[in-house]
Parts: sequence; structure tokens; C-alpha cells
Amino acid sequence: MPFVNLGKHEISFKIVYYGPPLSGKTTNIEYLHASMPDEVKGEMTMLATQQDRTLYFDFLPLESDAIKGFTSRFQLYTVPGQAIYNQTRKIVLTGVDGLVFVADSQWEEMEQNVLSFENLKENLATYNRSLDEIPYLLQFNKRDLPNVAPQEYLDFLLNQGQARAQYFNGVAVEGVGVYKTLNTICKMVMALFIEENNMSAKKTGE
Amino acid sequence: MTATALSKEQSQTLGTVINKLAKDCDAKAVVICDIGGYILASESQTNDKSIETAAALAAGSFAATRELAGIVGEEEGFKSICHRGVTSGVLIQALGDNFLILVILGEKSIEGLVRLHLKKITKQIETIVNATQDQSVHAAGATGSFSVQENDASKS
Repeated sequence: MPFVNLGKHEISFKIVYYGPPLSGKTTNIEYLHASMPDEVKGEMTMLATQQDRTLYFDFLPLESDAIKGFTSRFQLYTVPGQAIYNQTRKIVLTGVDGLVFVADSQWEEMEQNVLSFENLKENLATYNRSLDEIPYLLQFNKRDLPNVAPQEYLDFLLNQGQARAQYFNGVAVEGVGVYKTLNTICKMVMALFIEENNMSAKKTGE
Repeated sequence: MTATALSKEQSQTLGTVINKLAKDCDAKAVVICDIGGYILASESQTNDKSIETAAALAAGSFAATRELAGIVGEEEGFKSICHRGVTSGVLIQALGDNFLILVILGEKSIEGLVRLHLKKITKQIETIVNATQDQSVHAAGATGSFSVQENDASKS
């Protein structure tokens, strides 16, 4: 859940990029790191194998003045997509405030997309949490490749929650859809934070 | 997703306590964070951006160690981990179940003394950080309501 430091006027949010192996989670973060101005980004950390596959997580801290009177800190994490690293995926989901599910649009990756999405729901359940209460959206990545499924099909496969999630097409390696995805998930987590905390203030009469 | 919050007073107290700890231990930095890597307080000779990354890595490292403890049958989990290099080192210690303190050791830091100083203040810190867990932002002293600036979520 978001953390507010009133002494420093800071609000911190944790956003996790989830999805099957090689779907482009790290590529999203790398593009953001490469293209953002220095004053809003921190160091990017990648805990990767020698083959450049994510071993534990990638981490990129960003800051913004999006909420009046506070510095909003967005901590972006990716998870390792490979099946053997499920325990580390669970760890990275600790206290998550917003989720981006990065799906691979290629036909042959449909099963991996569905399995990863189910794995996400199972891992959230271990924290007694679900996608019904966490802001999330879908990014259908690799739309530039020739053998991709129609976005309607990906939507049909993955978008079956109580409320339909927003989705964006992406070509993360070229930056297509990367900022749209980030801006939307940031707005979603901030909107929920503002709604819930302003509501709790009204209830307590403050 | 109701937030948890640290009040101005709690923030100042933690700042004072870890400032003293850093001096007593000749530490390069001291960071208090939750198990998700959110920083509650930090005292450092390096820049804030490095500290944010250090907290995320410490939280990840400690979580992995906790899982290892489970695998080897250590039901209570490991309470601290320490790595010492030639000119620096790190000590990460649990503060209850949900928070951590990270001490980045300097060349002159003596690990035994760090543990001793840490032991003296652990209860005081735990009392403060545990109090934040069920503390709403308004209970922590926030006045008025939150609202978004008119520009984009990200500056770029």
C-alpha cells in the first residue's frame, strides 16, 4: 500500500510489471530509463543472469510532483518471467500498489500469457489480495512482429476480471505505448489513493 | 489501498535516532525501510537516489534470506544478515515482521559495536515503525484533502 511520509512530504507507490518470460517487461523499464530526464529518475538496477534474463527484479525509481504539496515517488519493478523463479515473483509483489501485465502478442505465446496471468492471481491470493482491488492494466507488446494475435483475441483471453481493464498496444523496444502505459497506471494508483484517503478523512470528520 | 503514514514527529524522531547511530558506528548510511523497500527514514553521506535503490535491494535480499530460512527449517527466520568487504559492508536487521534497518558500514566501522548500538535502539525504533502500520494519513496529522496537479503523472 502507498506510504506517506508527512515529515518529508513524500508519497511512495510501488508498481510492478508482470508477465511471461521475454514479453518485454525489462524493455519497458529500460526505455523509460533511457528516455527520461535525469531529474525525475533514479538509478536503474537490474539483477540479471549472465544471459541478461531477469533473475530477481529490475528496479527504477521515478519522482513527480503529481500530487499537490507532495513529492510522489513511483518505484517500478519487474519480475522474472521464468517459471522457476515464482518465489521471487511473490516477493516482488509485496505491498504492490499497481500492476502492468505485459503480454507477448505472438500467437505461440498465448499459453504463456494465460499461465502467467493465472500465476499473478495465485501469487496475489497468497497475500489475500486480488486484481479486484489493485489498479492494473494490460499492455499487448511486440505489435510490430508479423505473427501477432489480434488485440481483440488477447483481450478475450486476458481481460476477464470483474471490471474490464484498460489495454494498450506496445512496441516497447521502440517506446510505443511505454509512456501511455506508465502514465495511465500512475494516474490509476494516485486516483485510488486520493479517493480512499479523502473518503477516510470525511469519515473521521477531518 | 488505504495508505499508511509516518507523522512529522515520528519522522523527526527516527531521523534523530539514526543520525546518532550513523555517527556512533562511523556508518556511511543508515536506512529504515519496510519489507517492500519503502524508506521511512535515512541518514546518508551519498545521494538520495542511491539510497532508494539500496533500500529496494536490502528489502529484496532480506526477503530472499527469509525464504531460505524457511527452506532450511528455521521457523523464526533469520533476524539479520551481514556482508563485509575490504572498505565497506552492509548489515541488515529485521525490525519486527514488517520493517528493516540497513546500516552501510564504513572503513572504520566495527561490526560488533554496530550490533551493540543497534541493540540499544531497536525497541525504540520498532515502537515507532509498528505504530505506522495502522496509522491513516489523517491520523498521522495530514490536514485537508489530496488532489492531483493539472499536469501528467510523470514529468516527461
